[in-house]
Parts: sequence; C-alpha cells; structure tokens
Amino acid sequence: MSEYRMLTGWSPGWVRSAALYDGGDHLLQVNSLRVQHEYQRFPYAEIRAITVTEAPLWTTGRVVRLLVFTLLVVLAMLPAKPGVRVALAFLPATLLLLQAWSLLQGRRCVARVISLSGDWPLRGLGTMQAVAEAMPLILERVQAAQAGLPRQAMMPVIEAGKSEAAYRHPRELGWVLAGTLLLSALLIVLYSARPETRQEIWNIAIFVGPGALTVAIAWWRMLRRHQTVAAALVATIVVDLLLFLFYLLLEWRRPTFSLTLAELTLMALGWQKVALAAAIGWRVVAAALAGWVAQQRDEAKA
Amino acid sequence: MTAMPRCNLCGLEVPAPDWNRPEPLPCSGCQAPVQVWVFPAGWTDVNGKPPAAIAAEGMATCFHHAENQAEAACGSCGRFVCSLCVDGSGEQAICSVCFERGTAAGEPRFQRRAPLYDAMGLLLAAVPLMTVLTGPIAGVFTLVTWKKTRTVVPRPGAIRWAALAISALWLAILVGMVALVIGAWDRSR
Repeated sequence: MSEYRMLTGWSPGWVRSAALYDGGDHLLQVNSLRVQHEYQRFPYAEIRAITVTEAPLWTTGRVVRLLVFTLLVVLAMLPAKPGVRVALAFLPATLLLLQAWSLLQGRRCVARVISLSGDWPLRGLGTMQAVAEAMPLILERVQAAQAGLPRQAMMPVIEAGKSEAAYRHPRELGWVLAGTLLLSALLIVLYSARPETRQEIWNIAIFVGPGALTVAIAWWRMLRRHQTVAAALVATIVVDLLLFLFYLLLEWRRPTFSLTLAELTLMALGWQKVALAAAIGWRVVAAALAGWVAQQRDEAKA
Repeated sequence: MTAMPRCNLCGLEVPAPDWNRPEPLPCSGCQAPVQVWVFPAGWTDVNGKPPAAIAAEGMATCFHHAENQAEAACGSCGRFVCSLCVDGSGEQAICSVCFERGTAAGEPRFQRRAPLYDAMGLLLAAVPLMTVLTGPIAGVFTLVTWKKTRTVVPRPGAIRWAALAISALWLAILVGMVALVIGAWDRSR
C-alpha cells in the first residue's frame, strides 16, 4: 500500500505531465515522461513560498489551431460521398476534439515552489482546478510543519480556506461537455443509419461509441458533488444550442431539406435535460433522506 | 529569503504587501492574476545557514567533517553530522552517505525515478508502427517485466493488462495471416 495520497489529477500534457501527492511530511511531485516517473520531494517544513500565476485561456496559438482545425473539418465535409467525408474529416475532427478537450480542462496556471533546495516549477499545479483541489491541504500541512517557527509581525496570517472559493472551477463541467458532444454525435450517427449510409455506420459508431460511457461517468461524478450540477447544466444547454445550429446547417446543405434531424436532436437534448434533472433531484432526495436518517438516529440515542 | 516570489509569467517580483492574500492580485507587470503564499520558513534560517564551527572543546563534531559542529544525528546510521551532510527531506535527518546508499538500493523514500515497463509494453503494442510484429513482442516484454514497475505512487494494473490484451490481439492477427499464407501456398501446389 502506497504511503502517498494524490492531491491533483495529472496535469495536461501529451509528452510530459505531472501530479502532486501528499506524503505526510513532504510534498511529492511526480513528473511523468510517459515511460518514466521522476520524483521530487519538498518537505513541508522547508517550503518557503508558493507562487501561482494564472495563464490566459485564449492564447494566439490556441485560437489559430482551433480555427485551422475547424476550417479543415468544414472543407472535409464538402465532398458528396459520405464515406469520403468521414475519411477526410477523421484526423482534423480528432485534433479539434483534442483542442476542445484541452479547453475543457479549464484555466491554466504556472506555479513554482521556493524551498530550501531552490526554486522549482510545480507542474502538478497546471490548472486552477488543481490549485483549488490541492492548495488547502498543502497550506494546512505547511502550517502544521512550520508551527514552531517564528513568524514576523508584518506577515499576514495565511488563510487556507479562502483560496478554494477564489478558484472554484468544476471539473465535472468538462466531463459533461465532452459527454454531451460525444453522445450527440452518436445520436446523429444512429440517425444517419439510412440504407445509403448503412455501410459506414459501424465505422463511425466505433469512433464515437465511448460517448455513452463518458456521459454515464459525468453523471456519476455529478451525483457525488451536486454543487457543480447547475454550472454543468448551463454549459450543456449552451453546447446543445451550438450543436443544434451546426446540425441545422448540415441539414440545410442537403438537397432535400427537412427538419427531421433537427427534431431528433431536440428530442435527444430533451432527454439529456430530463436525465440531468433526475440526477439533481436524486441528489436532493438522497441528501434529505440521509439527513432524516441521521436525525432519527440522534433522537434514538438521546 | 534566497529567492523572492515572482510572477511566473513576466518574472517581476511580487511586493510583500501582496503576499498571503486570500485572492489573487494582478501582477503590476503583466496584469496576470498572481497569488503568493509565503511561509514562516521563508523568514527564518531553518537549515540554510553555514555549518557552525566548533565553539569549544568537547562538543560533538561531524563524522565526515571534523572541523564542523554536529547539527543532528543521522536517522539511519546514528552518526553525528553537520548541516552540510544532512539531507533535510523527511522527518528524520539522513546523512549523505546513507542517502546515496538508500538511493542505490532503491528504497522508496530515496527513489528519484522509476521506469514504467507497463507503459513501455503498452506503447510497443499500441503505437501503429509495425504492430503486427511489435505487438506480440510487447506481450513477451510485458510478461517478462510484469512486476518490475515499482513506482512509489499507486499505479493501475490495468495498463499491463491492456498491453497484454492488445498484444494477444496482434498475435491472433499474425497467426491468422500466417495461416492464410500457408493455405494459399497449399492451394497453389
């Protein structure tokens, strides 16, 4: 059994990523190079300072990549034969999805730790979400480890609890957005299962098949932390509207314009909303039931 | 402090009044929100001071540096060591000799890196580069290195199982291809 407890998820990165672990008396940073782990240990008693700078979400490079991949997807949709469209759009669509996923990771940041051994990058704190998750415990550990050290009068008291509120960014949002996108894509694929496209349907279904699983995971995660459900719901509605406009545009391009696809999309969106509402409702009911049971137990003990 | 807290984007020093604020404040250089936590160790000289010289006869001296006053006893070998010799990581002071020995022996608390054989097997099996050949090889590699991945943090066992499954798939494809070739050769005869 490992003595370490994970503080953050793995920071975003294709080649290199990092995560922070709590080792009781020290902070462990694991730098992963995919085929090798490198460990850095920072004893809590020796940490002098931690700095976190929020990086802009929309960098020039990111905007350019998004525009280029979107343009490539649109160009790939121009050929008449659906099979050719899928073959051409597969790579740019995958890259576009990866970019979208990167955006869904939330606001990025650059963090460093100054310890007795020097000034080091804290790559494990790569997103503000990670900062919100990890900093309260790190502050608590450092304060406990350095409780015996003299503190100068000019130094303000470190308030561990308040940093979380300043940085709250629900990770479930990302799951729901990704799940919505993939599930919607799956529904569109199912709709497209007409005789002329039936040959390619399985190829596409394999590509988007994990969508249902992703949505299930998103809902499961939301059930565990109901405070982010409202934000997720709003985000899902926004994404659904964008998807609806996109589908409408696609359908408009067909020789025989019909609203069947749009209607089906609306039905799917409605079903998702019902499921989300059920998730919220279940959470509220479960919390109420748990409270009632606890109250009954306390009364029985009294 | 040896290093002042700086904005991590523009490198400008963050002034002391902006430290330990409950919310991030905009950097005066690049306007990016910066939050700085400075701890008591940043104001005190916990371990970074030079080793104290022998003050008087009869005081304990460092085992490795006879001219230096002993600061602590090594938690591993028990020898008195000065601050030059102590590795401060962890609750116990560990002398540099024990640290090197522990690192060489692969003790978890001294481990600095760990090769991920399971990830290597998975990459070998899944990366589309002659995978018909490298896939089965990856299976053998995964089996041989089954218990060799020793990380200090928990690691999911599913990675090596995935490598093995993909490898088995490629092995089946390879066997099928060989059977097809043999069948075609037989028919041609």
